[in-house]
Formats: sequence, structure tokens, C-alpha cells
Amino acid sequence: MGDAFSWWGILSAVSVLTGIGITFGALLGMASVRFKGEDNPLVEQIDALLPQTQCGQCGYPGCRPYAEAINQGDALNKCPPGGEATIHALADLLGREAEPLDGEAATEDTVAFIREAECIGCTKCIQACPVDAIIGAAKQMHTVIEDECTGCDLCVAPCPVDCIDMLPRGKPLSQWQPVVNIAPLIASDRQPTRSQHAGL
Amino acid sequence: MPAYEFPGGITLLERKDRSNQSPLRNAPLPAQVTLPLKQHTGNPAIPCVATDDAVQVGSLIAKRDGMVSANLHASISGTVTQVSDSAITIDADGLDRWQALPPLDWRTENHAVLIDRLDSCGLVGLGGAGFPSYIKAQIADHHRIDTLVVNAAECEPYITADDLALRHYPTDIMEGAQIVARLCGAQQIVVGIEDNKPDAIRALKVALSDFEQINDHPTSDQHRVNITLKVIETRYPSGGERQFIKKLLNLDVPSGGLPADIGVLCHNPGTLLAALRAVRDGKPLVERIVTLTGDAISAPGNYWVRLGTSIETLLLQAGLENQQLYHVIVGGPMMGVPLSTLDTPVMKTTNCLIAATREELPPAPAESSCIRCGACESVCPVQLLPQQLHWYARAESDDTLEKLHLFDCIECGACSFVCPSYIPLVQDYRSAKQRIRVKRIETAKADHAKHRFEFRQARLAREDAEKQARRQARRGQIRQPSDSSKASDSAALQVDLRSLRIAQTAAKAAVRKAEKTLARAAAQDPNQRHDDLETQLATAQENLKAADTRLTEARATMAQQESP
Amino acid sequence: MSMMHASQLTAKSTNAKSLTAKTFNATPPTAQLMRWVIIATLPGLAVMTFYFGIGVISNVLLAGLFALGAEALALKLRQRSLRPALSDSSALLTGVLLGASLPPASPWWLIGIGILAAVVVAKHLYGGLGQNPFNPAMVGYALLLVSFPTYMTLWSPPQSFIPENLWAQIGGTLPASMLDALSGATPLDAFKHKGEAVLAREFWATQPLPEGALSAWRNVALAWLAGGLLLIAKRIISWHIPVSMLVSMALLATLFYASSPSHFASPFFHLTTGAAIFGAFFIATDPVSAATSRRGKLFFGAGIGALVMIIRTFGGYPDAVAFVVLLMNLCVPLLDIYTVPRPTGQPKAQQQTEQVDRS
Repeated sequence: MGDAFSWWGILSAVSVLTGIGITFGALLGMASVRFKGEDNPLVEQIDALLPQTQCGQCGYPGCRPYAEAINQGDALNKCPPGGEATIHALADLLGREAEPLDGEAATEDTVAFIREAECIGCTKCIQACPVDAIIGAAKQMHTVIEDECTGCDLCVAPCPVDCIDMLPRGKPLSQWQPVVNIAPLIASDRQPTRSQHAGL
Repeated sequence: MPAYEFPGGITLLERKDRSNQSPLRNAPLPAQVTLPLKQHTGNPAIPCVATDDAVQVGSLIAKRDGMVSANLHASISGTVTQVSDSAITIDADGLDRWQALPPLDWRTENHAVLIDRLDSCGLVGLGGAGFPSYIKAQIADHHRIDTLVVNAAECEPYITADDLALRHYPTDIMEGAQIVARLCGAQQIVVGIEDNKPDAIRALKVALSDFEQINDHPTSDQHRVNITLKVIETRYPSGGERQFIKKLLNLDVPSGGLPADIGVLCHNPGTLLAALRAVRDGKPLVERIVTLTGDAISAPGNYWVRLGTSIETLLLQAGLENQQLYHVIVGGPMMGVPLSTLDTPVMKTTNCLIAATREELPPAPAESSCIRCGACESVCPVQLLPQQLHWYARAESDDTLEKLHLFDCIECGACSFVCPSYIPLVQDYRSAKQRIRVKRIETAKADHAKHRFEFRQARLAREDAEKQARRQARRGQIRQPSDSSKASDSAALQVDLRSLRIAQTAAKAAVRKAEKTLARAAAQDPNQRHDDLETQLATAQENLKAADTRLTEARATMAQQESP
Repeated sequence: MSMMHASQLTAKSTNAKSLTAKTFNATPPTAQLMRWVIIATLPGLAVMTFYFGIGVISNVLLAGLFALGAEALALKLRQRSLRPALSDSSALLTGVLLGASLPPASPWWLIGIGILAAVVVAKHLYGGLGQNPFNPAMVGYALLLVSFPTYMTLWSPPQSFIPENLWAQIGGTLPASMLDALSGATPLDAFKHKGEAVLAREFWATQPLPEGALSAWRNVALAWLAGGLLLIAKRIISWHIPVSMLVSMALLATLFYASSPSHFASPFFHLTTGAAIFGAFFIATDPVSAATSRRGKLFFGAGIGALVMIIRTFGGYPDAVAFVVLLMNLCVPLLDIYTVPRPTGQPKAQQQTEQVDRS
């Protein structure tokens, strides 16, 4: 009787466990279909964080290729137009350590400007512009469409007569951000807070 | 008369009786005015006068730029002394000669003429936002309006400009309301006023009964509107547009929408008065009623002030005591901003100047930690979670902020008012909103550049493919393919052909998708331009062309190899 | 930028008329808020002292003192200025609440350990006032309850005002053999350990509790209730948490009682013994660690009430307000996410999903 009982016990245990396995498997399967997350591959997300100046300073022809390279494990710190903010955003996204920027950060927004009197109409800058922001034809004067220019300065080097300047671009007043001196949310113990100064 | 309730709200110290005791007076004519080119929502106006031009009161000195903008007129007669990027300065000749437009009878003129008059007189909403009125008057083109509400709540402490306007010009204001009601096709006018203005209510009642007598004559008017007066309980922020409409009509203005979406148009009494003067008297908007108040001036009250008058001059004329003065606030104490310099002109939207002493409006005590007490939540008129917003705003979690509907915040300051830890909550929200707005612009810019870059890549690829095809075709004509290794070649080509076909189909699908997206966007927003979507479509088309070219080229090679 | 603040409403104004007019729905500043809560504990403490002797006072005094010391120590270590943090009385309040929940005349070291856990660990290690996810006083209490169960059950029967070996008790020099003599069961304790087979009626017939214990606990509860009502009247706390907690306790207790009156205690018994009332008004309402939205508070309170009843009835502890509050503190982030109110003008839930579908 003991034997039969234990056989029964083993059988029931196995069947119960199998049943549980099947049930939860089915549940998981259903859940994965039902609650399927938005399909947003990592490269897309990385690309979205890059500034899209297409300047090539990272050594890749454009932001998208750099995004792909980052996904393959390339360093995060090769984007000067993005600056520290981009590096931190990328580090947050990928769970990697943020590194200091390789090279000099862009201090302000710039826009290319062609000194039109000096332009000889060689079209070299037109070929260099990654966003088709320069118009003109051979032996005709060229000019920059200000709104389309990303300030990447790729057109400066090819110009044989050196007639392209990178000028600072003023920000419209509507985009002005007030400088607010706000105490950090989590009072860090490394640096004393504002009230600290006031109190002491 | 039922009054409905909006959630939250607070009861404030009103301090209105400092400025509402004395009658409306005229401020002395200024010796010089500085008229900023942007006194309204939208683009700054473009100057149309030059230095040394002689102008009269009401002369056009700057024209509106684009749709959302407003004309600007000289507010004194004299000589233009400076035209800068941001403002025009005029020195007075002391004569105060007017250059008015011809009077119009609003009952007989047609709509286009009236709207044109509002436009040419540079009329904007005088309540605070300064939205050009002629656009608001054209609202009937897009929306069906059935109610015009006149917002005389004036719920902020100190301000009494609308109160005084209603006491002195009740009939004019109601006539102005009828003009606007006629323009937007509203069937009824509802005037809402807080119960702390008994004199204004009395004046309005008299004016309304007069109107009823006129309306009793059947011949008097073809467009008859029903005017009702609703007295509401004094509770801040009942004058917020959404709260006001909720309170008067029990309607919710949808988030991100306009009152017009629910058939309501909202106007401030001051604007209506200015509208009547523009139409009936042909007077452009060159002056407005400003409340001068606060403990630091000796003659508080309401004044007709010419636009562009220096605030310092104005306050000195009202008896400003400089030793007493702690700060001057433009607007109400809840939503207004302190001035960093008094050398600032009165603008179209300046409704109140508070010259406060330190005891009157003291600086906020030092902020302490949020203890999540929830006081802010219970007073929020929009039912947001101010304290959650505060945490996320400081942590710069912008996605979460938008999920918590940060942009529904009307910045009324009720939460800051009750916060036991003196946290300047609204300040946090304002900077967070601005940060998110700038971020959106930057993202849009980056997307735009990305699409242009992709388009260029696609174009280059297409040109490359075409060049390749041409070269191949030339080569095919010149020499016959050799027979050697023909079998293996054709097998490779087969594979190649298949992948090219797949690529072409995918490109076709991409074009169709881009077309569909563009069509949908265009249907939703016919007036907007969809440059980015067009670029994306063009990119897809380039890709398709490249794929086509490659495919035909491969097919041609195939045919060549098989035919001999 | 709001220039006005509710604090001005109490300030002298040149205009007396507008001052007197209205009732203001504003909460007082944080420091005042804390002080009001401390004031509201006075009736409860007074009645407790009346029944359980001067040991209650010594608890509260020691705990308050230690709390201020621990706060100062933590601030010092964190290199913060002492005055603003100490003057907001939040540490003092933690001390008072912990002191009030300990058995009378607890030894000083016990109080010290509890306060260290409460102020240093539960509050400052998480970033100080406003940042702590758990109720500091209850962290201290829970730690003591699991670490020193003997001392935490020394609820001596209602006794003389000044017990004979008070100093030995507080000094912690009382020999262990004496401890047992002191220990008296609370009503909840007694009921918990009555045994499965004993029916409620038989149990009460045996007079398991010292004379007057039940009424003592009931009166203490009533005193706490008075303090709590004062807090609600002064708008220091909102009614949502206490009401939902007590209602859910009462409902569950009624349900159990109705299902088997012979095994379960009556709802009245549950509400008037243990830390039910004290917890509802003084512990669960700690704003920092409670849910924030009104709906969230209702769920938070109801959750506490339900869990307290379940643990009292089926769990291993006679009373469990401390553990339950901590458990519900854990749920607060989740509650906060799911109870975001719909702002005015936002589409209703159904329309919202439609919108998402369309986009």
C-alpha cells in the first residue's frame, strides 16, 4: 500500500507541477502578446538623443551611424555639439558610465554665413552640407538657408577662398530660460545647501 | 441663479478698498512715452515711422506682423525721437491733438468692417494675456459660439480696474459686449461678477434694465441677445477663464483647447469698452485704466493712463514714497511679477501696479522641505497634484511632469499661497514649462535636420544607382559578356535580383506609408504646413527610385546574359 | 510668482476690515503644524499618565530629548545648520510619538535605540525631513518590538501613579526576575492568547484582565480621539486617512464578529484597544510617508485598517499598527501613481483611451 501511495504521490506532484508550468507558460505567453511594449530599437533611442547636427565630429558620417556605433560599444563622449547633457542622457539610457567629453564643447549655437562678394561659385560647400542647407549653382553665388543650417561647420574647410564664417546665432527671446536657483531635490551631503549658507 | 463650483480655490485678503474708494481719474499727460513693439501675444509689430516724424494721438506707428500681432498707435501727440528694435519713443508737444478714425455704427455696418476696425485700432485683450481681439472676433469662422461671457470677476487682490470701469461705463461696456456678441454670433451674453463689488453690480443692473427697455421696442434691433448678470461668490481664482466658465455655465473647457471649443467666448470688460470706443468713436487703443495701489503711495486709485507712460512717473504722481517702497508689482499679488526697474512703460496689458511696502507684501520666508501635507492639492483649481509636480519639476523628470498634466496648470499661485513650507511652487512650474517648451523646439529642430539628412542620403544613393545603371548600360553595348563562369554568375544574379525585389517592395510600402501620414496630417490641420512630412515622403520616393533603378539594371544584366 | 502667502493672513494689516471677514482654508507653516500635532497628543498623554503612571511622562520626555539630540547629531554629521531643522519640531514630534507608544517607564537605553533607529536611520539616512519613505517613529517601534519583545510587552496593569521601582525601571537596572512580575497583558494580548478552544464568552467570564484595564484603554482611546479631532478641526490633518482606516477596521471587525461572535471580539473592542485610534490620527496621518492625493489617502487608510484587523485576527501579533503602517508606506508610490486625479478639462478615462488609440 505504501508503494502505491508514494507512486500516486509522485505522479500527482509531477502532474501538478506540469500543470502549473503549462498554466503560467500560457499566462506569460498571453501577457507578452497582450502587453507588448512599443517596438523601439535601441539604435532609434540613441539616435533620438543625439543632436542631429550631422557634423561628423564623432568620426562617423552623421548621427545615425554614430548611434549604430554606440550600440556596438563605441564611446559615448564623441559628440561635441551635444555636450555633457547628451553624454549623461546616453549614459542613463545605456546604463554606462558617463565619460568627460572628448574635445571641446560647442559653447553656443552657430550658423554658417557666406560672404557673398567673395564666393566664386565652386559648389564645394554645397556638396559638403549634410542637410542641403546651401543653395546655389556652379559659378553662381551660394547662400545659406539660415533656418536649415545646423551649425556643423563642415562647409568651412572645403571652401577654396575661405569665405564662410560661423557666426553666433542669437536665441529668440521666447526661448529664454530663467536662471532659477533651486535647491537640489535630494540634498546632497557633499555640498552644503543654500539654507546652510544662510544659517551659518 | 445657480452658480456652479470649480474645485479648490482659496479665499484671500482682498485689499481692494484702497483703490476702489476714489473715482476714476485721468493721469496727467506724460512728457514722453516709450511704446514697446510687443505688448501682445504673437509677433512684435513693425515700426512704420522714422525718427523726427510728427505724430498725433492715434497715429499708426507700427503695423502688425503676421496674423497673431497687433497694430500700435502713438498715445500722445509730438515727435518720434527714437525707433529701436524693441520700442518707439515719442516726445510730447503738449497739445494732445487726436487723429481718430471715422465713427461707425455697429448696428448697421457689416462684420468685415467692424473686424477691420478692431484690427486697425490695435485692440488686444486687456485682461492680461493681450491676445489680439480681431482674431477672437473672427472665431465664428471656425467655431459656433452661442455664449459670450464677460469676465468681471477680477479675483486677484488689489486690482479694481474692471470694478471702476463697470461703475463708470456700464452702458458702454454692455454695448461693447453686444458688438462682440454680434461679431461672433453669440445668442446670449452672461456677465459674471464677484459679490465683492456691490457698486459695479448696481451700475450693471441699471444699465441692463435700460437695455431691456430699448429691446422692448421691436424695431430697435434685428440681432437680439439675451443678457444675464450672474453674481458669484468671491473665491480665488474664479476669474481664471476656465474656472469662470465652469462657475457660470458649468462647462469644462477641454485641456489644451479653447473656450470656443465648447461654444463660449470670454472677454474682459476693459476690452469691451475699448472695442466700443474703437468702433463708435474711432479711437485706437492708446490708453487704459490702471489701478495704482499699495501702501507706498498716498493717492491710490484708478487712472486713465496713456500707454507708454513711465511707471516711475506715474507712481510719483500718485504720491510714491521712495523710502517706504519695497517693490513694485505689475499685475496682482498672486500672478503678477515684481519689477526690477521702475523705468518701464505702461503697456496694453498693465492692469495694476502695486507699490508695496515691506510689511505689506514681505519677502517669502526661507523655503523648507516639502512634507507632502497635501494642502496644495486641496486648493488646486485644476485638480493637479502640485506637490508631485514640484518633486518632478526639481528632478527635471519632464516625461512624468507631462503625464501629471503640468501644462494644465494655470499658474494661479494658490498652491504657493497655502504651502506651509513656503515653497515657491509656481516658480518651479513656470521654469519647468519653459524648459519643456525649449526642449520641444530643439527636438523638432533636430528631427527636421535628421529628415533633411536622410533625404540627402537617399538622393545621393539614387544618383549613385542611376550613374551605375548608365555605366552598366554603356558597358553592355560595348562588349558582349564572356561565356566563362556564366552559370555561377547567373545564380548570384538570381539571389541579387530577389533581394532587390524585396528592397523595392519595401521602398514602395514606405512611400505609401509616408503618403498616408502626410494625407492624414493635412486632413487634420489643413492650414498648417507639413514640411517635415513632405521631406520624409520625398526621402521615401528617392529610396524607391534608387531601388527601381537598381532592379531594372539587374534585370537588364540578366537579360543580356541569358539572351546570347 | 506669488507675492502673497497664507502666513500674511495672520500678520497685522493696515486694513482691519478685510482681515476679520473670511475663514481661510490655509494650513499653518510647517513648524507650527508639527507643534500643533504635539499639542494634540497632550490629552492622550494625560489620560495615559492617569492610568499607567508617571512612566508615560518619563518615556515622552526621554524620547523627546533623545530625538532632539539624535537630530542634532545627524545634522552635525551631515554638516547642516542646526537651527532651522531643530526649530521645525519634527524630530521632537517623532520622539513624542515613539515615547507615547512605548510601555510606561521603559528603560532609557531602549528609548535611545528606538530613537536612533527612528531619527538617524529612518529619517536622516534617507535625506531628512520630507524625504523619508517610512514613518520614523514606527520604524523605531518596529525595531524595538522585534529586538526586545520582553520589554515591549511590559504594559503593567493600571497602577499607582509613581511605581515603587520607577528609577530602576528607567535606569534599566531592574533584574530580569522582576520583569515578569511587572508584565501585564493588554486586552489585545489577552484575547490573542486565550486559545482556540476557549469561546469569547467563557474567556471574558474568567476575568482575564486586571480590574479596570478595559475601561482604562477605552478612555485612553477616547483621549486620543479628542486630540485627533482637534487636529482635523485645525486643518492640520485631513479626515481621509483616519476615517477610512477606522471605517475599514470597523467593517472587517463587524464582518468577523457577525460570522462568529463566539470566536471574535466585537468591533467596539477592536476600536477602543491597542493603537487603533492613536494610529489612525497620529501615526498613519504622517504626511511625509502617506499617500498624497485624496483618493490615495482613502486607499492608504483603508489598507491600514484592513491589514490591522487581519493581523490582529489571524497573525502572530496582538496589535500590528506599526508593521501595517510600514507596509502601507511601501505601497505609497504605487498608490500615488494610480490615484492621480483627473484634472479639470482632461478627457474622462474612456475618452482618454480612445485618444491614445487614435494617436
